[in-house]
Amino acid sequence: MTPAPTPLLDAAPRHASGTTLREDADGAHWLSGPHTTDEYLLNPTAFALWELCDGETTGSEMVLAVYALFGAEMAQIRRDVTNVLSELSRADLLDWPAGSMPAPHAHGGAR
Amino acid sequence: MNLVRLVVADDHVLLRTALAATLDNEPGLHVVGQADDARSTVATVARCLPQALLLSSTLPGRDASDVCGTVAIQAPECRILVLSDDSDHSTMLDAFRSGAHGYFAKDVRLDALIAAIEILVRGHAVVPPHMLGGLLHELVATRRREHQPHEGLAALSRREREVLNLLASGQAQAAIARQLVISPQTARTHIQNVIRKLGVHSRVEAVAVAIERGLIRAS
Repeated sequence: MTPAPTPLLDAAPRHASGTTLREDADGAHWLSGPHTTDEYLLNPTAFALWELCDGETTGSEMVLAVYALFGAEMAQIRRDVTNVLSELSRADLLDWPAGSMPAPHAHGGAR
Repeated sequence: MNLVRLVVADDHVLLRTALAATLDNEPGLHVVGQADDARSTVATVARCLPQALLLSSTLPGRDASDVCGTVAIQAPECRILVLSDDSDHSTMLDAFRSGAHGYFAKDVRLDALIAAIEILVRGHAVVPPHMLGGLLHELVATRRREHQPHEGLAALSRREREVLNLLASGQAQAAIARQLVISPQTARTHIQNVIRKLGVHSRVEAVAVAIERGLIRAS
């Protein structure tokens, strides 16, 4: 029996091996994964979340940090963080602990 | 039309008066007071009840964080934007903890500052994009410390240990950033955190402490 996946925000993703970061002349950050030449433009918040993906910081901790800083509606922050992590994951930019892969149909705006 | 009422607090006369005059000429903004030290800032805010305070991080008299704390209590409706000479994460974090709602380096462009004021009075926080990652990391680390107190090496996060290992291998800030696929500013924050948590004063000392206590091996 396959164990139920851990909810995405309970897991601590980390950068996928082989990802590269490029900062362009305007200060915008572009990521590319190990299996493609496609580049993904990250908005400042998505890039800040990317930097928190160290294999130790959980999505929930990211949510609480964003909430502590911006004080927006918690449910909205949870949705936004979930969307960003899902986008990054779909682009093969994140590695997840076993059993915590995000749902493949999540959608949102990391790019 | 409702004007946004501002107080500008900075001890540099030329900068303060020029900024106040410029902002006062902007549609939608009205500078209702100026101050040149911590005491007069608190008094001016109490008298003028502005919607936003532009506060220099280096006012004479008291720490900017103290001023933020006092204003936050005396005039809770007033949104505080700290203007700093540097991009130091710990200064910024202190300001936010003390009640500031925004933080900008003083080399910001005027149009960006005006946009920030508008965002601020709408109730949102203002953080320079290049400092956001480091600030969020600090907030995560702070929350962990509050919930699980540690000291020294034990308090280092995994990422900070990675940074310490890279420092030990002789990597500079830019190389560490490349290696960890993060920005140089965030790498700098991690290095500062390692130094602060280990209670040392330099990168070399941090590496020495880590080797001495067996966290990393001398190469």
